[in-house]
Amino acid sequence: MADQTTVTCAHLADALDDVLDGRAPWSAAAIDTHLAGCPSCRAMVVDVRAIRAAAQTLEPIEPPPAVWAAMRARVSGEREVRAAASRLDRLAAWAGSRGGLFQPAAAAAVLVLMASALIWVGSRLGEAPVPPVGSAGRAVTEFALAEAEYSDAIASLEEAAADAPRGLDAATNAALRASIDDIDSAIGEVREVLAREPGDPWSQDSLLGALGSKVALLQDTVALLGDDGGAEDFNP
Amino acid sequence: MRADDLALARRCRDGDAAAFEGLYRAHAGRLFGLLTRMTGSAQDAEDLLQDVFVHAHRKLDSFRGESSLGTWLYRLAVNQCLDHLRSRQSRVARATDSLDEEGAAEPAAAAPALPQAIARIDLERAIAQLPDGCRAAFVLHDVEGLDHREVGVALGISEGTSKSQVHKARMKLRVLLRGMGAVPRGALETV
Repeated sequence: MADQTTVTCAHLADALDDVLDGRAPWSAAAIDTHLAGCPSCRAMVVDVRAIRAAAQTLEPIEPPPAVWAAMRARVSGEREVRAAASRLDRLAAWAGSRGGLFQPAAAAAVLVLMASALIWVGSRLGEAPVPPVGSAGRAVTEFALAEAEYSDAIASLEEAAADAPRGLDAATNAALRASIDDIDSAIGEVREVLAREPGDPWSQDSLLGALGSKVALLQDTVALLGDDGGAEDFNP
Repeated sequence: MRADDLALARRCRDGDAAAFEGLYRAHAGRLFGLLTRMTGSAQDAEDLLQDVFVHAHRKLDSFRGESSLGTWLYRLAVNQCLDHLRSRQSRVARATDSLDEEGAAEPAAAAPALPQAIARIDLERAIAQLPDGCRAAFVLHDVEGLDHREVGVALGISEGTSKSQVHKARMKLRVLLRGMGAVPRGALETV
């Protein structure tokens, strides 16, 4: 630490902020004495004071609107992919519990398709209402209402897919067709069980889960049909 | 304030697009300014700003309200920016080393003093030309108002190194600002 009467160039450089803020460990007279005899330090003090003052006036900079648009698309795409993965997880869990009715390979193919497509179209997708899946103790009437709601949604989506002006490429079409066939097959089996035991809560949940998966797959199919890819007709 | 932030974070996490846009609008300007000045590149800042908010959206689950959302986003932005600078230069310190080698960075004693009021545009341009290492310290200290201890924590350097970096940046700025004509040619020192 310097004594109270001697200030050097090195002292000033080391404690410039303190000098400018009036917190220097030297007296004002000692600092002034040094500055009076040192043009270099005098210029430095003036310049740094000006630079600090100017720096404090710099304001926020609004980003171009395109940044928000691009970022929103990324976030929306990620959210859609997560939702798709969640739906497929539910479907896979349900299919696994049914003893291999739904093939894992088909699920993986659908996931890849949905993820790649949804990242691209994510920002343009609207959220179609999907009825919630309830507990195993659901009353028969509540189950019937939910099943009817799913069935209506499936009918509307199949109609929208059939009316689409453009189709998908053959590979995508075949993969989606196979996945829908798998789900339909599983739905058929559960319906057979429910025909024998209409109030079985496990079967009710299984059927609603499968119907929900078909709704989700058809939603994404319709979204894909709105994409630019493919030239062949898709007939659900 | 924290309760509001927690509620906003929850709405964003639940997919409320309006809430997320509100979060973006409230903080994008400050963060974009920070990122632009720390990187010296508007293009890099645009990419980083996207990354910051995408990352924030993924990590909203981890926001506990221990600081404000603004502070939380600010830290994310600084960290994201430092990762970017490290990958751009492999080490921030390398930029400082290059500045160390510039022995003539400080103006000659007889050089005219800078004007009392430096134009913002001149300062923005000069900041963009600083080496990465000392620019980051300067922006955080002189523009953002962090003290040297906070700068040290943010950049992973000591308080003393922060002081050194900021000093070097200021000396370099003096040279750059003169080169831009921020000081009338031939003006005399007036102090």
